[in-house]
Amino acid sequence: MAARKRTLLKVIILGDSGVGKTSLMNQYVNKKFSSQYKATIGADFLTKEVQVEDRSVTMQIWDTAGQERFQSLGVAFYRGADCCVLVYDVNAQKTFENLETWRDEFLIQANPNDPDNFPFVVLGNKVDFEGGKNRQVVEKRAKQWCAQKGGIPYFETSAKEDINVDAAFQCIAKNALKNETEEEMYIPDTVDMNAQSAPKRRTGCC
Amino acid sequence: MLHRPLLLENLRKELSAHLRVSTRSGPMASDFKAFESTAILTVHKQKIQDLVCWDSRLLAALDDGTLLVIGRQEATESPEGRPWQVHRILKGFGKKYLLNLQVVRTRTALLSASDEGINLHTLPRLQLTAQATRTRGANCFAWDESKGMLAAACRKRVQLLQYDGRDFLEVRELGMSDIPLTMKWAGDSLAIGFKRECYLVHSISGTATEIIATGRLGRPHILSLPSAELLVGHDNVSSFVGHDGKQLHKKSLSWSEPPSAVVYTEPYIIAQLSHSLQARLASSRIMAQELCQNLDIPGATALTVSSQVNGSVFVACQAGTQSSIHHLVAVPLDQQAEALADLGDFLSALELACLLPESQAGVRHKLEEALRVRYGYHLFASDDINQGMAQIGISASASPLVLLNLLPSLTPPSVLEPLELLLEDMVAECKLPEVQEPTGDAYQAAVSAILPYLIGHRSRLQAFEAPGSPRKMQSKQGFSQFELQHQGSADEQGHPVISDGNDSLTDMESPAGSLQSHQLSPSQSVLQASTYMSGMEEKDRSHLSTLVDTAIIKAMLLMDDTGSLLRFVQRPNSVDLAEGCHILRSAGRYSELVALLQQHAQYDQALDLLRNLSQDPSRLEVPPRGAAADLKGLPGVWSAAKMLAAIGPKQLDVLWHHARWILKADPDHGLAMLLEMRPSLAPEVVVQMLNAFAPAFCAQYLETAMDEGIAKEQDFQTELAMIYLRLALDGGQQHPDAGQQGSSNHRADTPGQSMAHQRLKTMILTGKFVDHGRLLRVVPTTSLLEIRALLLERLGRHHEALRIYVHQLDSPLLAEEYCDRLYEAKINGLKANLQPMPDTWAGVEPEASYDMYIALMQVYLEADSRGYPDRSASASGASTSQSWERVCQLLSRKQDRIEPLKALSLLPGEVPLHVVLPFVKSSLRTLGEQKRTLAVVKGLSRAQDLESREKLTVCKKRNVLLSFERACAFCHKRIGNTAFTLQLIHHPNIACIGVSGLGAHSPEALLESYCPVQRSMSSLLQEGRAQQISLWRVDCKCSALKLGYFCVVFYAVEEHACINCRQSLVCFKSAFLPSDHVP
Ligand SMILES: Nc1nc2c(ncn2[C@@H]2O[C@H](COP(=O)(O)OP(=O)(O)O)[C@@H](O)[C@H]2O)c(=O)[nH]1
Ligand SMILES: [Mg+2]
Repeated sequence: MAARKRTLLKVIILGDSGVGKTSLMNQYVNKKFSSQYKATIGADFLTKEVQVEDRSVTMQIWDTAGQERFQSLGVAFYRGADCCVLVYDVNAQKTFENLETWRDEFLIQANPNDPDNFPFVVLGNKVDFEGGKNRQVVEKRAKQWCAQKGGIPYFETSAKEDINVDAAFQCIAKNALKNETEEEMYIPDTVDMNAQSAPKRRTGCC
Repeated sequence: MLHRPLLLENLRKELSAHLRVSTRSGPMASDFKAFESTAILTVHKQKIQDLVCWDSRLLAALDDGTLLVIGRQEATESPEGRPWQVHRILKGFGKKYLLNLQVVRTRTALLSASDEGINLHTLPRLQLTAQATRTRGANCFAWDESKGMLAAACRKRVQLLQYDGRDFLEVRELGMSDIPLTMKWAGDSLAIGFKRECYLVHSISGTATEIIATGRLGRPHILSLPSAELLVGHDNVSSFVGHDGKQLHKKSLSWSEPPSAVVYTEPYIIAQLSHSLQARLASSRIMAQELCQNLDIPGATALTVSSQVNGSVFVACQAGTQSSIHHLVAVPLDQQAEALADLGDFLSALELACLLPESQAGVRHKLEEALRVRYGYHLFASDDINQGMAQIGISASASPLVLLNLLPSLTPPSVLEPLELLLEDMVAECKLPEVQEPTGDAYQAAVSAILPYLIGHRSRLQAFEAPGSPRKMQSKQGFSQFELQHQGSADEQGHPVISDGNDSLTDMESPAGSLQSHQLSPSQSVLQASTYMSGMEEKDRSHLSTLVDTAIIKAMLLMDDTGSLLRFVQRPNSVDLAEGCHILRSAGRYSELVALLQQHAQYDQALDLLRNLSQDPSRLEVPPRGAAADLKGLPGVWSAAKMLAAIGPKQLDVLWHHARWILKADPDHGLAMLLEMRPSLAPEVVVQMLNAFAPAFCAQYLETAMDEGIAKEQDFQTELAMIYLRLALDGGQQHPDAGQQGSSNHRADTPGQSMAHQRLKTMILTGKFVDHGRLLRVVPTTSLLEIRALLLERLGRHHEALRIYVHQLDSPLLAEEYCDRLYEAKINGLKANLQPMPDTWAGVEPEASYDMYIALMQVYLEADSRGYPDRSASASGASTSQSWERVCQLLSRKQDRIEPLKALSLLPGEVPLHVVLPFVKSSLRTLGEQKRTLAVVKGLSRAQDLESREKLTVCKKRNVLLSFERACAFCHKRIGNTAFTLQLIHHPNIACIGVSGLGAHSPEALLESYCPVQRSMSSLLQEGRAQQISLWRVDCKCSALKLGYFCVVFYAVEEHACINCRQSLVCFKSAFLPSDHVP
């Protein structure tokens, strides 16, 4: 069989517990939301086939329980991640402040080749909550942080109302693929559709 | 044209010689088969120009204009098995030639292009019903069934004709720059293929858009796909194009040579090439290019998709002078997929499996799952371990057995054994190959890759078993918030949750969301519902959990030690204990082993191990590694102490077993451990234990235990005192002289002893529950005299105590201090600290214990009358005068405290007068002074009394009786029953009298603001003069001030006393104050 390019993307979702990591994944993959809070146990993943441009890839999204954190899962868990999603709750300042720690810890554990350019995506979740009345982190502030960290893409989401969830994950997939491209020197074998462009001719009629 | 039966019969005979029911066609280019081809019919000489299916029949256009109607022989056999034959031959159907055929299904008619133009014939009778005008010489046409629109291309023009059911009406004619070679409707436009390019020409406006530059080779082809797409061929590439002419972001198909025609039969596109047919997936997916079947059917001239038999295709081909028709039957997709998988092309297999229709969803799902696992195995075997695991991970039905089967070294045989059969089933079901376990670095990589999945499986298994999981929920309809909460608490211990920034959780709108706690049941989001669990028996599931957890520790052992293994075994787990112990022990990972043993309640073993680790690590077979290496010495002891503290008092035997070495190795920590245990350990037990193993720490323990309330003072104070006594005495034994000296002050005590002595003293003086009698019985009579005296004091045996001070310690100073102490205590009314006088109190009446000094006098004097064992008889003369001197000194120093008459009566007659004279004199003086003072006090009190009476009268004058005639200060309404309702409470002890403060805005302000005697009301309350101040909000109907506050002060009536000082209260009867008193 001919060698095929990689089709698996490993994505890790991190953030304080309760910010909606599991809910986001569930909304994205299963199109379901439950407002019952069930703390995740251990660690688990969901897979979804995604179409990125003209490629179809399998995105494997790993979700961890807050209490497991880094220590108990070991580095094997984080190694080989293609993208790391950092989630916070826009209604809880602390969860935003902790992003820094999550990012740093991730980089320590996953130890990617090029930490400065490792793709992260930040999601500010629960924007629906109480119509945004209790919002504690303004969009500007979050974007500022993302910009500081080398232009991390930022999305404001609601797992509950399915706001921006697809867009966010699409971006996650795209960035994960970007990472792969750089690392594995993947050369696309697609036919360039835009190369053809013969001058238009009118057929004589009427 | 003549269609005589006879002729037909002849022809049939003629042809039958050339017909043969063919066998399967030759071997294919690859082993993959999407279609099976069968030659069904052979026709001599003529070339088949076009082929269409109608009903169960085939219509074939021959190049000489003949039309053949082909069908299966009518026989009794099953329809599938019947051979094909020509039913009808219509010679001259087209005069010179026939080009194209198309069935008009809605009208059961056949469109054909011949030299005569485009004709419409009825079906099945094939009678001409309509002819399209000006289409003579048309080389291709396109029919839009929904619009009833025919487009026919004749040389450089395209004729558009509307069919109205009877005739074709000319609509429009479009001029072309070249001759259209092929043409298809695409919405309102026509996709037209010219020699060099393809255009999309709008049928109304005639605007043309170039779709694609076709190549120079061969004819262009255009295929209209059901998904409103076109497949447009240029050279040997077919591209997907939308009806707008824009190329779609899809893979194009490339053929080995430019095809002359293409057909679509889901999910394949079959291209007619000069030497073969090629079938490729029409799917947009990546691998569409790679999946291809070459059908060895050379010289194909026409092909058509059957309208009846699913997906089958008929192909006409010409070889030499002979034409034949082949039937291509699609192999069922699942079989194709299986076949591909067998060939190792799993991606294509998966692709195909996805294409199974919804009606076969069950099959599709199972197939996909099995393919994933197989693919995973395949990838794993070809060293793509991560991908392999991921593929297996996608399959929800793949149990961890499937994963672990790849790394048998992670599963101890004894743990795997109960599941062996299940594994075999799975291997058979998914046709899993035997995969060699990798070695070296690849092995490391594999273990590292499998670990997250094992953890994932573990989470799922756990979630499945947890109460409230979907499985358990089914039977439990009313799953209320209460139950949730309940479960939450049940799981608390097992799952400590770090609460971080989850404030928002508390106000979720859902019932569960409103729980304050984050510690909910781990029942949890079974994210990826694994399906294998529900099909398993409970006991197998538990075996599986054990297997997974055991494998996890094996795997973690192979990873760098980041502490994750330790954390893992510290949490509840189902690791097989025997195996786990073995594994960890042989790796020297004793810390983890201890944690595992502890987690599995094997405390004794765990502690034994800790003892070895801390006390004698060299005895361990495998040297300690990882965290265990640090357990040598005290850290090991601390760990053990911590563990015992955590175990708590429920395992007393373990505690007894291990307390000894822990206490020996680090008594402080041992002590802390005993104290920290919750629920706390019975102090009796601890005392017993400490007495046995670390007696020196008994006292410390009891002190702390009593401080913290673990041990009750009443139970242990005496115990503690005894311990101190013992400690204090220990020194006595060590230094035999000390006792002889008779005073602790002179003893060369060890610091411990003097501390003990000190503590003992304080305890005797202040301890509420010390049993002094008991102590007294054990205090020796020769040493610790001071203690003894103290005990006697506490027992109220003052006489005996004084004797010790005077006679044994020979310390009149101490004796006098003693008396002073008691006297002052008495005066201060701190009687409570003195125990009731016991019977042994002789000589002095109990109630007159003021007269401690008298008692002391007695003791002094005793020495003379009786002598004292200590004193030798010969010394008595000297001592007599000494005693008198002492008595007299005492009398003069304390003359104000001693009742003179009593003292004097005690003195024996022989005491010289000059000795007592100073005492008598000063006594008389003092008494006189006292009398005068009292007289003055009396006078003062009377004056005070008079003054207060006067004040009272003044106050009373200022008080005005509030009657209902008086008006509100603001609305001027009378305080009739209309304006105010005053509730007066009748309380037996309190005369109820009110003061009104009208219009105050708040009760507080009122309280501060006004008082009948120019004080604030609150101060009245504080002083206890008013017993209660009540405020009513009175609804005075005057609108200006709706909320007036009424203040009613209840004073105690004259006869009643202040609760505090018990003095009579001044009474203000009828103290309703007028509103004009409001400031
Ligand atoms: N209103 C609102 N609630 C959400 C949203 N996402 C999650 N939640 C709720 O927040 C709680 C925690 O979500 P969860 O996904 O378990 O958080 P995790 O601990 O990060 O996995 C659950 O009760 C969810 O229902 C959201 O977008 N909007
Ligand atoms: Mg979660």
